[in-house]
Parts: sequence; C-alpha cells; structure tokens
Amino acid sequence: MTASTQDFDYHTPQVAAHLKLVTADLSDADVEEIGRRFDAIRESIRTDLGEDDAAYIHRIIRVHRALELSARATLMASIFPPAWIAGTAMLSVAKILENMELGHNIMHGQWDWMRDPEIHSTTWEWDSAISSDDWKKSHNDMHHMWTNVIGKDKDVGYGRLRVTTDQEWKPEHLGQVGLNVLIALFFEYGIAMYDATMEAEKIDAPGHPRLRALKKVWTKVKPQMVKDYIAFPLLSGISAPTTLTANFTANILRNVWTHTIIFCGHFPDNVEYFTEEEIEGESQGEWYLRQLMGSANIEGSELFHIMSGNLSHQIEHHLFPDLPSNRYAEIAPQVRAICEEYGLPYTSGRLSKQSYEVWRSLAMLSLPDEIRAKLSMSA
Amino acid sequence: MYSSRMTRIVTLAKRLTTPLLPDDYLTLFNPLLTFDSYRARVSQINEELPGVRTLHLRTARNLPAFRAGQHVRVGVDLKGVRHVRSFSITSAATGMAARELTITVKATGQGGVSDHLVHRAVTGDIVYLEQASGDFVLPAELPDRIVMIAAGSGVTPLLSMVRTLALAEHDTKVTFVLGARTTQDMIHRHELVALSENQEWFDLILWPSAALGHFNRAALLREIPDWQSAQTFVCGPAGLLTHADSIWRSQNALERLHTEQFQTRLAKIDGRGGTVSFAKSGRSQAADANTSLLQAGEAADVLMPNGCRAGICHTCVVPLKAGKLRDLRSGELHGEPGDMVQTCINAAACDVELDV
Repeated sequence: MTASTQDFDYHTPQVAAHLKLVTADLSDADVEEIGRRFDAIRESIRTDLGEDDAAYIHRIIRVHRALELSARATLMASIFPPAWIAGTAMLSVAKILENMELGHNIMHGQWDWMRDPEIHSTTWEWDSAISSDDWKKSHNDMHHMWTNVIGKDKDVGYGRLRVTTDQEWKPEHLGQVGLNVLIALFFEYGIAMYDATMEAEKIDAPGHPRLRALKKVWTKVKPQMVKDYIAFPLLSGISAPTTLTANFTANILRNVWTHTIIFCGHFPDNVEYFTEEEIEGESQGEWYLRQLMGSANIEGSELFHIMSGNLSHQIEHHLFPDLPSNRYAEIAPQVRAICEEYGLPYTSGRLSKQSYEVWRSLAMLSLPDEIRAKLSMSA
Repeated sequence: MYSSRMTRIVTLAKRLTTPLLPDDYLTLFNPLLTFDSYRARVSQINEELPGVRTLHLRTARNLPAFRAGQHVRVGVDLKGVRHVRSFSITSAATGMAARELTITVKATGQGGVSDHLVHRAVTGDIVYLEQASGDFVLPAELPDRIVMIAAGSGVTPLLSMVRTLALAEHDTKVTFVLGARTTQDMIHRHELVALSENQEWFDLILWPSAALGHFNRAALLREIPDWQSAQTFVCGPAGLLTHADSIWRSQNALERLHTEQFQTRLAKIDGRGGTVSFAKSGRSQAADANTSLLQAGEAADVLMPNGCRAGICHTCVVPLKAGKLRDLRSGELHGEPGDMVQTCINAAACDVELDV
C-alpha cells in the first residue's frame, strides 16, 4: 500500500515523509478519535475476560507439558531412527509452544488478570537461554515502548544487522546474511547475550560489562544445557548420543522458527521506522499509530497462529501487548475496520512472502548503497 | 516435609524439568501430585445450617502443624480469576503436621469465595491453601480459667480451641458463650451442647440476642462472675469486640483479653486519592480516596498478597516506600517510608509507592 512505486522499498528515509503522508489526511481530532477507538477495543476485551480464556491457557499449558513429556519419553529410545524423528518433532513443537504461546505471552502480563501465582508475569520462567528478567526488561519495556525507533529499539537489527536504509552502511554488513543465519540457528544465545550486555552496561560495577553479562547469562544457560545435553542423554542410556543430537536439533528448530516469526513482525516491506525526534510528545493515539505502522501480520491457519504464539497477529499484539493472545484473532477485524475507515496501512502477508522480503532486504542492504542502486536498476 | 531420599530424588528431577518443577508435570495426571504447593481436595461437605457448611479438606501433602485458633488462606478460581479468603480452621490442632482439616463457611451473599464454597463447591473440588497463620491462638501453657465469647461465625476459631482441649488432658475450666440472633442460627450448637453435657470442664451459655439483647457488661457480670481471673477469647463482629475492649479496659484487664475480628467497618473518606505505584512490577494505578491499595494493585494486575481483606490477618502487608496513607477504618493519616502497611484497609492520601 506504500505510495512509493520503487522496485524495492527498503524503509527509506521517506519514513518521515510517508508517516506524514499517511497522517496528512488525519487531523489531531482524528488521531485522538483513533486512540479512543483502540482504547474502547481494549476495554471491551478486558471486561469480557473469564473462564473460557482461563481454560484456554490452561489447555495450552497441559498440551505443552504432555507433548514434552511424550517427546522426552520417546527419545529414551532415540537410537532407533523413527523414535529420533518422532521425538525430535514432538520436542520441537513443544519448545515452540512453550516459547511463543506460553512464555512470551505470559511474561507480557497477558494472563496476570487471573491472579494465578503459577501463571503470572512476575513468576514465570521459560525454557530459553534468556532469563525472564532480562527478557522482560528488553522486550516488554524497551521494544514495546520504543517500537521501531532507530537507536532506541534494539530489535531494529540487534545492533549488528542493517535492516533499513535509515541505518548507515558499514563494511561489517557485507556478511550480514551469513550472520543472520547464525543468529537464527542460535537465536536464544544471541538475544541472551545482547540483553545481558545491555543491562550490564547500565550498571556501574567492576569488571568488563560483557564478562559480567556472560556470567549472568551462564546462570540461566547452565541448567538449560545440563538438562538438554547432559541429564536427558545420560538418562537414555545407550541412546545418549542420539538423544543429545535430538535435543540439539529441537533447540535449533525452535530458534529458527521463533527467529522467522519475529523477523517477519517488523522487517517485511512497508513497515515504518521512526526517529526519537519524531515521536517526542507522542499522544496515546500517536502511540497506537506507531505500533500499527511498525508491525506486520502473517496470514495463516488457526494452527499457524497458535504455533506463532499469535505473533502472526503482530499488529494486534503491538496495539494491545497485554491482552491475552487468544483474543487477537477476534480483535483483528475490528482493527482492520478502523484502518479502512481512516486510510491507515495494515501490512499483512503469507509467511513465504514476508520472510522472502526479510531475507531479500537483508541481502540488498548488506551491499553499499551505490552497488545496491545499480542492482535494483538493472533488475 | 519429606524424607532426605525423597529430597534428593526431587532435586535430581528438577534438573530434568528446569525451569519448571516436577510438580508441573505430575499435576498433569493428578492435580494433587505436588511437592511444592498446598493444594487440597474437598473430601467431605456437611450442611450445618442454611447457608453454612463445613468443608473437610484433604491436602496433597502435610500442612505444617497449626495452632488452635489460626486461620488458613483458601484460594478458589471464580470465572478464571483466583480469589483468596482466610478461614479459621475448625478442626482440633494435634500439634503435628497433618493432611486433614476442616473449615466452616458462611455464605455472605456477595458472590465471592464464601458463596462459592457454600453454594457451588462439591466434593472433589480443588482449593489452594497456604500455611496457617494468626496470633489468636490457644496458649501453649494452658491457664486455669478460660472464657470464650463467640458471635455468629466467630465460633469457628474457638471451636478449634475447644476441640483441641477435648482431646487433651488438662485442668482448665472453660465457659463458652455462644451468641447469635436465635438458637436456630447458632453454628455448631449441637456439638457444643453435647460437649457441655459430657465434659465437666466445659460450661456452655447459649445467648440468643434477639431474645436476650446483646451480651453486655451486665450479662457478663451476671453469667460469669469470675471473668476477670480468666483468659478471655472473643470472636465476632466489630461491635462486640469494641464493647469487650471497653469493658476489659475499664478493669485494666486488657492483657487477658484476646480478640479476633472477621469484618471491619470501613469509613468513607472524602477527598482525593492518588497514584499508587508498585515498585517491583513497575506498574501504577490511579486510585480515589475510597479505593484500597489492594484494590488498586489488583486493578493493575499486580500479584498482591492478601487474605481476609479486612485488615486483620496481615497477609497483605507490604513495605511502603513513599507517600501517605489514609486508614479506611479510622480515617487516620499515616505512613513513613519503610513502614509495613496493610494494603486492604489503607487508601492513598496522595501519590504512594509500595514495594510490591
């Protein structure tokens, strides 16, 4: 829906212009009304939450634990290839469910309304290299507050990748496609280190921040590694080596899946980026607009939505991060309606399209601007 | 708790389940297969009176020994939300960790935990308990003379004390005043009457207030002439306790009076409230002068510790970091940084910060 007719839209410096283009037709009163309409959606869901919602999350939790238990049991016989395949598949699905539909959402406080001390953002810990504390600080706080603000939202490239032309090209970007493959494979460690380093740099304490970060990350990573790479393999007797490879594979698959979904949330074409100056004095309505324009949805089946932790509804999640994820599908048509009414963008596409755009952008942006311009002209 | 061998097994199991606990997988098969929580199953229900029930609870694992007169926090899920209320344990205190206890619940008609337990709970239901607590207890060293005055559901903690005494050898003489509007409304009347007929040490006075008026100073002097020499335990509505307090105070006998209150009268305060900030969770909530800090916290989805919600059990106590509070009962303005404050009966008198 972008006004640009260029071959590739790399989130150009037209950002500011585009934002103004979109909102040019919107008066201050319009923006305020949009804010009110989104507030009303939020309120209507909040007051409607009840037993059915509680039953949903309890069911997902049961499914995850039962699946993991079955996977671990199957992998006791992982020396047999069919058991290895079945066990790895089940374990991967279990870990994905745990990470996305459970961990990420519960830690957002989406289920705090239940006042269940076992399913609460202040007590939940997840099966990942990142501690819940570090994650909550960097994600719930920073990413959702500073969404897509260059220089403040670390998720814009994770400090290493060039994802928009608003970021200056550096020689290190040449290898960024390969780097992103590594990041995808070992995603949990990448963000764990990044989050911990950021926190460590804030604290005035002796020692190098990165070393301090490493020590902190190790306190979470160690039990994780012991579980998947020592305890369960040993428990499976002669299947020890194959259980190890199975667990390793399951973690990799979960990393790649979560990486894919997360990157598709903010890096496909037509997603907007912002500067700190632009968002100064941001009103509630403007915050909603930034969330809307800074996010992209992925279309898919109901199963796909659950497997993506409902982050396929990235727009709805960014508008309402602490509403329970099972309600996003219900909210989506209401959000679309508001967008249509006010001529707002609603970026959405199938997984294949969105992830193609992400990798293509990364590849093109890894090149110096002049070379990229030559390539796009000849395309 | 459990044997050291079990502890070792559980520790090893935790390496396999981290970051979850073995409980989290065991409870897939049976919600009571838990090493870490005090879940309980309703094992039996007795209808005491219309709107009053005794529930027998069987816990998943041993609850540490409680003392007669203490209460336990009971959590139930209503419409997806966990609600917790404190109830006095009515069963006898054996001095040992145990898995069975009873509570007697009276429906309040307000749609909360009590109503659920009285009108909708069935055997097999799961409730979430915590360890017993409370200072209103039968003394370890028994005095020679005890007076107990119970009004309405205030009989519950005193019943535990009486049942505990009935199990033991002792030289204590007990006079028990059981009050309610009519004798029909008296909870556990039959059991107490039977006890008074069978046990020499137990003397029961039934006091239907509709017929006899409230149990006041005159009644006390007439019915229990030696009251001043006794340790007296009173449990009932605020009015009764205030009255008892003034009587005992006038005789300089306050240290022999022990009271437990179930309800608090909240004073309506006009004036502004403030923003209540919750330091640990980083949230905040605007609250008016009549909204308790507990309500404000729950509106912000903070995990607020709470129990009786009436300013009595002190489960809701959290540290105050900054700001002034207004006590919803008395209207008193108070609060210094570092104070431990009850969130259920205090409102913000200005912007307030709590360490929770």
